[in-house]
Amino acid sequence: MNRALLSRLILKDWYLARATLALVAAAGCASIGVLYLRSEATGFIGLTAAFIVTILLGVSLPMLTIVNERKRQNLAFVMSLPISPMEYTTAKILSNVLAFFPIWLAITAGVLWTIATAGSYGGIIPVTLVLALTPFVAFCVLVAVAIVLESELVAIITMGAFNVSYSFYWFFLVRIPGLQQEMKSPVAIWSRPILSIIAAEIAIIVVAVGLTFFFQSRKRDFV
Amino acid sequence: MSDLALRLDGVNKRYRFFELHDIHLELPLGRIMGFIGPNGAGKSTTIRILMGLVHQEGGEVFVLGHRMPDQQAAAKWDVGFASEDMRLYDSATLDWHMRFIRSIFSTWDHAYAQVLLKRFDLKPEQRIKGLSHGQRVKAALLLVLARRPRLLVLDEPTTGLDPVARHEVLRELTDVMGDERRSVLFSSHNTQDVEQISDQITFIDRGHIIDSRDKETFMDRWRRIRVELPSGVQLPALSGVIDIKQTGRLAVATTNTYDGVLPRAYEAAGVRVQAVEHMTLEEIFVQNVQCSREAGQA
Repeated sequence: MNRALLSRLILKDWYLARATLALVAAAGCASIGVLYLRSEATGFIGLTAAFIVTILLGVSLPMLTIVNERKRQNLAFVMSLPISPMEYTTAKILSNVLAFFPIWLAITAGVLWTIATAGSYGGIIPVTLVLALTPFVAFCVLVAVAIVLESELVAIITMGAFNVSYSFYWFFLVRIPGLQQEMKSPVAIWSRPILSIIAAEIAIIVVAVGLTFFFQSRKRDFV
Repeated sequence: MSDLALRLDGVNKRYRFFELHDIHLELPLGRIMGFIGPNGAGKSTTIRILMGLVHQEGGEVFVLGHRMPDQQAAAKWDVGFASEDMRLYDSATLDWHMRFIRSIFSTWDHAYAQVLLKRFDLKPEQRIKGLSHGQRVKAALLLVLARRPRLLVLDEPTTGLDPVARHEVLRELTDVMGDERRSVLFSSHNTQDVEQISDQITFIDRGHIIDSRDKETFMDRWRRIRVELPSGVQLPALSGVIDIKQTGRLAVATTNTYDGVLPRAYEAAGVRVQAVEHMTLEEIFVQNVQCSREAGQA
């Protein structure tokens, strides 16, 4: 694997998505700022805004760097460079994850830190982390679908399905026995169900990335 | 080291409604091959297989000595590829694309790139989305040519270009011909373009290579013989004649193995030979395709 070329391809994707990345990073900072005002209303608005920002980032990055590249017929240009299809896959996953993860981490850390330092809201930290991980999961699945299935329609359906599922997910979460009580606790309670959900979310991320490489290695047509 | 720029040996690829059959193709180093076929003949599929973008189901493919598709990353360092359906990034400028390619290829010739910018009348600071189709094609070719690759693979690069842009592109490719170390595979359904720059010609139709040889052989051996039949004289069936069109006492015989014997044979049979004509590459191509299709149906 040619690391220098791989880094050029990653930088290329970031350059082409720079406006979106800057906008999302700014919106993420703004949402943390609103959250930091520490009233009930700003807390709700800040949390919701931070959640929406990470969802937007998770959707726009794969659409810009993978789906549009194929739709706008740039893929043949990229594949004319001295790379193999597996190197292309690696570059796409790295450019997406390395762009998404720091912004997601900064927003999530900012949200968790604000909650942790706000006084007696520690109980909502575990469920906030569970919720913060869902856009990450959706992002990784969308990256996998966009690379492997090469279909704008399927990517849009996947995106839509995840967006609809967030409210169902919340509906499912609040019905976990004891969770509502734990959320009222002044300190974070890392119960078994919460840890299991976090583990499942991380497992989905790992499986999505692994399956992308698996299916790409078996693919015979790339353009 | 192989003296072939590319070699396809028994290559097959099957799709639902199209199949590439047993493709054998060789391009020696330093030669320019025109790859001609009607739309849907298999030109782009063959070229995609050559570039490792599509994997063959059978047969072997070597590009500059590298086995494809396994060694495509190594091969593509020395291969410049441009195709009609290849697009640069709309939101970026040509200058950004030039810097991007330059950052990857140490062979990038900055001075030559500047020359090409002038010849193609392109402005580096212009975004790709503001360029016309012809300018986009020329921009893509600039990025390929300024790398100075050993092998150029061009899939229908002149399709959709206006006459001026076509002339500029062909003039540049003609200049490439002067460099004996560089090889070119040039696909088109425009036989005029191919005739102008190629020294080898390959015809493909319905997924089959129907003929492949050097251009001079094609032009020398394909002839049209116009004859007049005196009353009572029948046109004799002679070997080497692949098509006869007769209207009353006038007939036109087409041969693909002309060696000067046929007119004498006709004269000996009492047929009056009016003219022996060279054929254009387009006429040869059309005749070749028709003969191939008739043979396939028989």
